[in-house]
Amino acid sequence: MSKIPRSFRLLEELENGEKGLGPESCSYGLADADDNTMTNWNGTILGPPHSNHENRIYSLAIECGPEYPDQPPKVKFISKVNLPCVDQNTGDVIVKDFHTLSGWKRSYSMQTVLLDLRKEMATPSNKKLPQPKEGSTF
Amino acid sequence: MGNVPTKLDQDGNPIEPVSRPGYPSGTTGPSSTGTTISTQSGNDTKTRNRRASSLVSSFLNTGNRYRSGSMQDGTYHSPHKRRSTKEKEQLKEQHARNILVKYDESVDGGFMAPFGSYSYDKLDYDTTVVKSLIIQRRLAPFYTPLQDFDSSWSREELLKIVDGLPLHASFDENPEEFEDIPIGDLNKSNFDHLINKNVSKKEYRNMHSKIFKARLYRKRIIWQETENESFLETKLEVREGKAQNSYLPSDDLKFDLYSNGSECPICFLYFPEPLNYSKCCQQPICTECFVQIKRAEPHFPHEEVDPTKPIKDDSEKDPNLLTSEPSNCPYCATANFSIVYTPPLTRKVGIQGIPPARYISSEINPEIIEPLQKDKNENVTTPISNNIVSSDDIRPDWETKLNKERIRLARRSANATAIHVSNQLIDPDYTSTSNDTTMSSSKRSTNTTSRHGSNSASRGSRQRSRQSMNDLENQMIQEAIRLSLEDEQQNKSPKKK
Amino acid sequence: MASLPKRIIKETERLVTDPVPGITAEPHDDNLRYFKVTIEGPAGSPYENGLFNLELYLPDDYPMEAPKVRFLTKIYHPNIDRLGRICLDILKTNWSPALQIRTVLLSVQALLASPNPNDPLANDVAEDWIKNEQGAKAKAKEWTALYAKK
Repeated sequence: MSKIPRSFRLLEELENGEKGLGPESCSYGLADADDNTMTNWNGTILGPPHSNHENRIYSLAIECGPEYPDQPPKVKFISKVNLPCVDQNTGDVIVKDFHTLSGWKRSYSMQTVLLDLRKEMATPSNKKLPQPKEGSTF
Repeated sequence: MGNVPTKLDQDGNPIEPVSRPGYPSGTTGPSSTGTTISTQSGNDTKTRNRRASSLVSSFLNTGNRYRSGSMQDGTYHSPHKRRSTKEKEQLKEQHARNILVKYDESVDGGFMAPFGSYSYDKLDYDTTVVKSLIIQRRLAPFYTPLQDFDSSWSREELLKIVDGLPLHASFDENPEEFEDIPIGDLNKSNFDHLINKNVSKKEYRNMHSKIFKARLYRKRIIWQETENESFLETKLEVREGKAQNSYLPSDDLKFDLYSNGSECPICFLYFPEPLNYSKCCQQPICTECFVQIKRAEPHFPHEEVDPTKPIKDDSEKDPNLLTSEPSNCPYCATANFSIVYTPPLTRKVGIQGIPPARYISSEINPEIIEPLQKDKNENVTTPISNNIVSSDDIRPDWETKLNKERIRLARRSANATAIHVSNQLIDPDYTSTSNDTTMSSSKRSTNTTSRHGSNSASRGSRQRSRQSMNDLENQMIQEAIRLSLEDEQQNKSPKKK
Repeated sequence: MASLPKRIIKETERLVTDPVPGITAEPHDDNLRYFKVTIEGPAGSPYENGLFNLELYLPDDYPMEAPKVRFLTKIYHPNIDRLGRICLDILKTNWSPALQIRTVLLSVQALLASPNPNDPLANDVAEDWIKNEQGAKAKAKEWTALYAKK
């Protein structure tokens, strides 16, 4: 298999996001439609049902650096959320505490990250964690 | 269509083609979703009304299907028979076996399966049809290509190169796709123990299919390697004079094949002549490239748009507008790509010909040599008018695929609307934002102006739900919605492939 | 496939031995399917005297699938959007495996010479192009001077 370059990979992800090909429980898009380096992205996660996150919408900032997708993106929650893998002061997703980023593979995408974070919210140990007031931000 | 003798449909086509007599290929049969086929996109409201009316019937169909509790009764809803996972998997294995190159299955010096210039998952043509076309000498066999050719090579040099040709191209042993997928013991057919029992049904199915794919990929490599080894061993034994083998080509055959060849303009590889030639513009194409050419995936017709108006989202379009045009000639873009193949008269070897080992250059009439197969029927030579093979001939299931995609889309849009209507029934002030794909922030919940113009439709249906439904209808629809939602939960597949 | 297909090797060689006037294409050392491309703006167009950088990638299924091409240099054109994506039929539905890197790049150059605002990718530019062609062309020329310096 050949390696798709960063820009065409990101264009693919952008198109999948625009077409809504992925599940409806999360979405993402370019933060700045004029930035042809396609570095900064916005993501949202719809909180999983049967958890304290139900019906909440979480906003995230995703930064795909020049080495993406060989290197994982930097992921940060804008909306306040109480999760063990999220730094409670900054909202940054802590790489070593989140297996998708620590065990990053080139085949992963922003969608993988968002869906796996959503799964994280729904784990038995995390789903009943007390959550900050809805709508508050880091 | 119509030129193909038998279509056994043995290779992984997941569903039986719908039989619709009276509808020639290239046109569409009557719609199965209850809407009419429109020849043009029409204005927005028209499309919406049509969709709305089809939705009601979809709801009721869904309801009926569940009420009766049996899939067979839902046949008018989905016109194809479903095969069990096991049956589908058996067909896929059979397909993988059918694309193995075997040195003892050859026609006129070429083989029945491709060398491997294209990836395995792209070899989705009907192997039974292609094999039978090759045996009938209506399609060139899959020759082993040369990477380069130099006309200054001597007979000895050329023979040395041809002798060194492998039966199949090398494999990508560990593709990224299967990197983390366990395959277990390939000799055992059951691999359920590889899957975590605690995952959801959907995830289980998903994992099962991934493992199956990874195992099949691996198995096919092993099968082909077995063929390669047997080919090499036989060659060695024959070279050392330990054995004789009638399937290995004679030096005359190898020389005649490769001293007279040409480059395929698509893969740039060098093949023995005669190649297949496009019917429209007489350009050569090797069989390996020919079997790659197919209809585009079902899509909505491309429209020139007025840049001053908003673009319509695909999810708002009528699924019956999905089309799939026959493939075009790669060289001159003539529609319905077809090839003509004129078999070599002096080189009838292999299946239904003389043994490849006994071929002698054409000064001697090959007919005097005893044929390899006794049941050879000389009358099988097909008349000229029948020598045309089209892209659709080797993928006879294209129409089934198109209909399947239409049904999938119709179901999806029915589900989307069901969610929408149910939200309105619960909360009359709810406004759908499911079409809002850009979502720059948490605007999603508060957004009141949808970007894709679906709001007027939602307003319309809200009014309908408030005014025109009597209680009974209301109950029926709600029940249908509930069932539809359940259905969606079950059918939502996370990955496209 | 594990190794680079013969076709890509031959195309690359031929691009070097028999270059197209006004166009260069050179593979990256670490990814032979990924090309650095430059295209000169065609004479008589608002892009004249500009040198545009592009990138081109041959996907796994090339030549059964079209190459992916994108402008890196900012350009004011109704069929090229702000991310550099190109709306060109042969890159999408009308792709043919008989086309090559060479023919694709020539088509891109031809698109610079004759924009098609009725099949736009950049809606705002296309609207401008239809309503005020002179103004749009002047802006395209201005952007060429600004961003596509030789």
